Amino acid sequence: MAVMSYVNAIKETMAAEMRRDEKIFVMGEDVEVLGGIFGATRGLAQEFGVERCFNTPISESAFVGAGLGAACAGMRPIVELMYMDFAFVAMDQILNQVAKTRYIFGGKAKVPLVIRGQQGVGRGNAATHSQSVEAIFMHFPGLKVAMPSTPEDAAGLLRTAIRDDNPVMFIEHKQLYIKKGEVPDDPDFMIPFGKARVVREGKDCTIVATHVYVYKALEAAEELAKEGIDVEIIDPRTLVPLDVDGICNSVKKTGRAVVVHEAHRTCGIGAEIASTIMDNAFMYLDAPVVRLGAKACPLPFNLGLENAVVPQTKDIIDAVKKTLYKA
Amino acid sequence: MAHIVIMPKQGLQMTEGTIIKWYYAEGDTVKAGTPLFSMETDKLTIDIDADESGTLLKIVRKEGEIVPITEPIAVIGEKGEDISAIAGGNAAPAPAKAEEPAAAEAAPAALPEGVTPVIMPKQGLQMTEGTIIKWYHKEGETAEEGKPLFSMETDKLTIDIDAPASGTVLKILAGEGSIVPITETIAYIGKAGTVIPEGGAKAAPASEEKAPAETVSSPAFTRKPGQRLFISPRAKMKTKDAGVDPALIPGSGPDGMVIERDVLSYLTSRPKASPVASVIAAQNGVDLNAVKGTGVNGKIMKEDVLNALKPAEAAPAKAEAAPAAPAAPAVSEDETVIPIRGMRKAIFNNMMNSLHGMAQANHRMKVDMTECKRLREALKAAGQKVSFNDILILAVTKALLKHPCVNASTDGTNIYEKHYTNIGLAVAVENGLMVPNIKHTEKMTLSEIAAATAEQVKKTRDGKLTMEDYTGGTFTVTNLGMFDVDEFTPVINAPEAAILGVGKIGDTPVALDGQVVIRPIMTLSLTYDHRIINGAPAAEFLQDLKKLLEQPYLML
Repeated sequence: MAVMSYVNAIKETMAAEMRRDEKIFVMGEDVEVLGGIFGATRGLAQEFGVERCFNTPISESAFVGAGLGAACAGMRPIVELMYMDFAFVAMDQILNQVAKTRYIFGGKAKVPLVIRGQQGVGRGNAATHSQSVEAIFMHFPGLKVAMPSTPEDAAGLLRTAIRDDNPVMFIEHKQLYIKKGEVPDDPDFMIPFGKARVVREGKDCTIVATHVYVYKALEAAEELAKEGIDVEIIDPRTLVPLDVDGICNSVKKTGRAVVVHEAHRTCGIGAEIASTIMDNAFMYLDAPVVRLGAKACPLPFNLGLENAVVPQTKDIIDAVKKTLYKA
Repeated sequence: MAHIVIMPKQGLQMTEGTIIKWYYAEGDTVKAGTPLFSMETDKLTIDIDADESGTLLKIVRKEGEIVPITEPIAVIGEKGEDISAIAGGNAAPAPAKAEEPAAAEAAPAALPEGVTPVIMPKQGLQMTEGTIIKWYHKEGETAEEGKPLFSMETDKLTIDIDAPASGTVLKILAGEGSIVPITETIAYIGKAGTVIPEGGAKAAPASEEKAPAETVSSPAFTRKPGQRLFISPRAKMKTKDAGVDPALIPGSGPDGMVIERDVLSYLTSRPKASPVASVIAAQNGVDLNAVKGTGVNGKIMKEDVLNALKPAEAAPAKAEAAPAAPAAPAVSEDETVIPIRGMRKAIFNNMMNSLHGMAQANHRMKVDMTECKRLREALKAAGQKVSFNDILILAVTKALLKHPCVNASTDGTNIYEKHYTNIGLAVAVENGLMVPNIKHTEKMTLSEIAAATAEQVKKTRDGKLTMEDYTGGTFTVTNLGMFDVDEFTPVINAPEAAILGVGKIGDTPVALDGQVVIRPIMTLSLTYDHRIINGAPAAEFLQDLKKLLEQPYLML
């Protein structure tokens, strides 16, 4: 076990995998010398050379497409998007090509491609650099979607993503890069997709949370515990595949659920998860499932306003109480 | 300290018992744990042990007297103890019943006109007492109906209670800080200047007389007719699991929605009730909180629920019925009067309820018992004694497992088909009939059935049956063959759904392969509840039973 930051867990996992398999290479904006805007690829060009870690033009559509082509041709590319918001530039490549190639060609072409990058608020990066985009990729079939919240999950899920023969959207969070935690030394440490993590066990209400909201949910749990409310926190870790049983079994136990994420509430993953709970555990519910997400408002540049738009710990506390009819 | 001996409740359905014998005379010394008297119920005759050691000071009810349960029948105490206070000229007012007459006495000490007593209200299911925090009006001040009169605190909450009437606060009986049991009077409101008689304080019990009535009705939560019941799915699931009617549970969620914690709190605060009582209450929407339990420690028994189901008229009717018994109509000398009581009363009610409650239909089928006879003789020769009845029970068991629709019961909402067979056996006893059942015959061999049957019959004749023995049956067999009855229509032993009446095995000429031959023929007569069993499946059951009896080796 080594203690490392989330960003280093990602870098070390990529490096370890690149040492293991020379078909793996990294490309993206400023990944070479700068090591990516958050340093996730720092040192890779030095170790593996610019053939295996190289800069691309500012043209996401082109280099995501290039990644797809390389993957079809037998390579295992990791494409870094500087901001997940930039995926929008490459939407045709991602949704029409990457997600569908294996299907369209009847399984004859494998697409072992990882598209990774960070998203989210916390740095005042404003409306076009702070969004949470996971719901889009969850919506269209053909992509796996991972959203690690800890260094350990980042390492385990990324290795699983790299070794997967199908395209994976690997979504990191800019606020989490500095989070430290233990990461197993095992060079084959992998976390299977579709297996949620029980972050905290409890009996009164289930909070399903992703990314930084896992931590906010823990803060809320501590506050609620003072009032005798014992919440269970579930981090799905991957949205596609989604651990329906893991989530629903927790809800069956507690009878109440709050789903919280940073992305906009409307058509966010919370809607899907809430509906999944309704489909599978309706009879066990004692209260309607509460969804928390960002308000329907572009994310502001001002940090104070940013906080006003995305859910806060207090919102989670209130939501849990609402499910317990204590609000 | 004198101890009052009461008529004990022995068994769920017991309402009264007959004292058969006192083992001691007044003045004798009795020892706790040794038989004090013998009594008879509709089900059994039993010796009752003394609870306390001491001198039998008074026998209130003599041998042969029929006494309702919980009524005092004797007093045990120290030799020479003065028991006139409790067992005076009329020993009837036992402690349990004391309140009633006392209250009745106090009631006439009526309040002056226009005076409204203020009582400690029951706020919430579990509340038993409340603390007065503050009176918003002093004596002599004017209170207004619907406006806060006082503030009180329970273990759950602090709440303002509104005045029940407008007027002058005439008297405050419970000052601030006093803890008062629910329904007790704490103040009076009325016209200024009205004098509350000194008995006013004494009139408190008067409202206590009302108290039982109020505890009975006020916590008995009911929704207004037409008021929709909102309940969370989880709460609904919990009520289903617990077999309670959600309509009886007050909801604390939005718009009065019943949520999980309401159900849990209801379940924990729910009075203890026998399983039968709970089921009947749930089926009929009776709130157990509203039912006064007559069982041990106030446990609610089946009768209590049934009584609660027939409101108002039941009580007076009963009161009238009691004196009516001795004042029976004139009887001519060549008539015998047999009071309907004890076991006769149980049969009386059960038979009537069975026929009134079900759509009973009947099928009959003749069975050739040649092979059964052969089987029985072969077994006998091999040293194994089995009766036709034992073979019949085995065959019935096999046929029931194949036709669970006949092995069923209903609560009006669902049909419950049983995949086990507890076969009841109608056993005639002196002046009556008992139906003990043999549990899980589906797991028994023929010889085990024979042994179990013999045991149950013996227990019945010896009066040793326990409740376990005569409840839980799924199907009954009644055999009148030994009385030369050819065929008959049995009445279903509710809550079972069918009963098989078995006639005698008689040599009968029958046509077989174009020849008239003599065969031992027995008629089976199946009465079934047509509400839940159709004619064809009932016939199929009989057909299969016939097949098994005509070819008993099929049961192997």
